[in-house]
Amino acid sequence: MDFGTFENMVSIGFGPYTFGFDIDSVTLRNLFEDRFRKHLAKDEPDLFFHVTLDDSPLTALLNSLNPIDLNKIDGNRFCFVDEIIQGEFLNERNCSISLKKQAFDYHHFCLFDVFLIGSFYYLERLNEPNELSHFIVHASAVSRKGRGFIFPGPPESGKTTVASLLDTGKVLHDEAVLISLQNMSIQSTPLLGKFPEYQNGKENLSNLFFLKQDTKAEVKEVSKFEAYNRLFRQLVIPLTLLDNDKRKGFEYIDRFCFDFVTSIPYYELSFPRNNHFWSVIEDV
Amino acid sequence: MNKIPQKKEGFIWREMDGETFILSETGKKIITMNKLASFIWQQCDGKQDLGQILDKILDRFEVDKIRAKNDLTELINEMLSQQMIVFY
Repeated sequence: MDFGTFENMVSIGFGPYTFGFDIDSVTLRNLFEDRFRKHLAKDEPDLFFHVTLDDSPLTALLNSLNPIDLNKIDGNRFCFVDEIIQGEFLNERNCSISLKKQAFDYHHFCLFDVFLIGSFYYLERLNEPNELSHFIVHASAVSRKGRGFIFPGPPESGKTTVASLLDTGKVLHDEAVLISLQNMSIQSTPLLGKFPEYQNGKENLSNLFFLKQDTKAEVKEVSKFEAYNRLFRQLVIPLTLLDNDKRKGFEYIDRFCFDFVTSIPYYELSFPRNNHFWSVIEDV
Repeated sequence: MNKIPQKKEGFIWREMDGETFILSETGKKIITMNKLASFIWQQCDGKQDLGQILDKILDRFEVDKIRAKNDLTELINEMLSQQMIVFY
C-alpha cells in the first residue's frame, strides 16, 4: 500500500507500533495533530484507520462505559461507549471508524486514549498471540544521567510531583509508560498526562520505585510479593484482555509482573516535595 | 470442625514467598493473602476437614491452639463471604 496517497494521514507512534489515521475533517485532523504532536510518526502504519467525524448529537450516557473490543462485537463491527467511537474492520489491519468530538473530552480520562490502549493490545495479540512483550503501566518515568527510572502508583501518589522535580535529564511521561520486556526499556506513550513538558523518548530501565510521600527522602526495600502486588495493580489493561480468556489474560499479566520483579531492582521511595531525593536515588 | 472446605473454581492465583495473590472470578477484584491465609487457602482441597487443617496449622506455625482456631475460623468465614470456597 502506498501511504503517500493519503494526504490527510496523521500517523501516531505508540511504542513499536504506528497507527495511521486518514481523517477527512480538517477540524478533527488539527485536533489529532495538536493532541499527538509529540508522537507524530512517518513509519508505515501497522494499523490503519479511516476516520470520519460524527457530528450528530450525543445521546449515549458517558457513564455506560463499555470496554473496547476490536475483535468480537457484532462480527467485524465494534463500538466504544455506545456511540462515541464506532467502527468496522475491513481486514485485520484496516479499519473505518466514526467518532464524535467527545472522544477527546477529558473528564476522568480521555476516551480516545482508551481506544488507543485497546488498539495497542490488539496489535500485541495480533503479532504474538501467545505472549505480550509490552505493557502499559500507570507510572511516571524519567531518563536521568543515562539511567531510566519508573515510578508506578495510583492517582495522588506523587507521579507528577516526582516528574516535575526532576533536576537533570528528561521526563518521559508522568501518567502512562510503556515497558518493553524484550530489553527492559521504558518509553513515553501518546496517552494524556498532566506534565506537558515531557519528552517523547526511550531509556533502558535501571530501577523501579514505588512512591510514598514523606518529609524525608529515603529508599527502602520491599518484598518481592509486595512489589508484584503493587505493580500488578498499576498495569493499564483493557478489560477485554481478561474478559475474553481470563486465565490466559492473567497468565500474560502474571508472567510480566513476575519476570519484572525478578529482573529489575525495586524499592519504595519516600520523598518530600523537593528534589533532594534524586541524590538518594543516585546512590541506589 | 468437621466441615470440608474446597476452593471454588474460577480463581487464579500466584504464590510467592508463602504469600498469595488472587484474582477474582470477575477479573476485577484482587485479594492478597499473608502466609497463614495462604496456607489455609492451599489446604482447602475438598478432602481435609477444618480439624485436620487446624492440626496442620499447629504443625507449621508457632501458635497456640486457641489462637490458631480463632484465626482459622475468621479466615474461613472471610473466604466464604468472598465466595472463594464452598463447604462439603
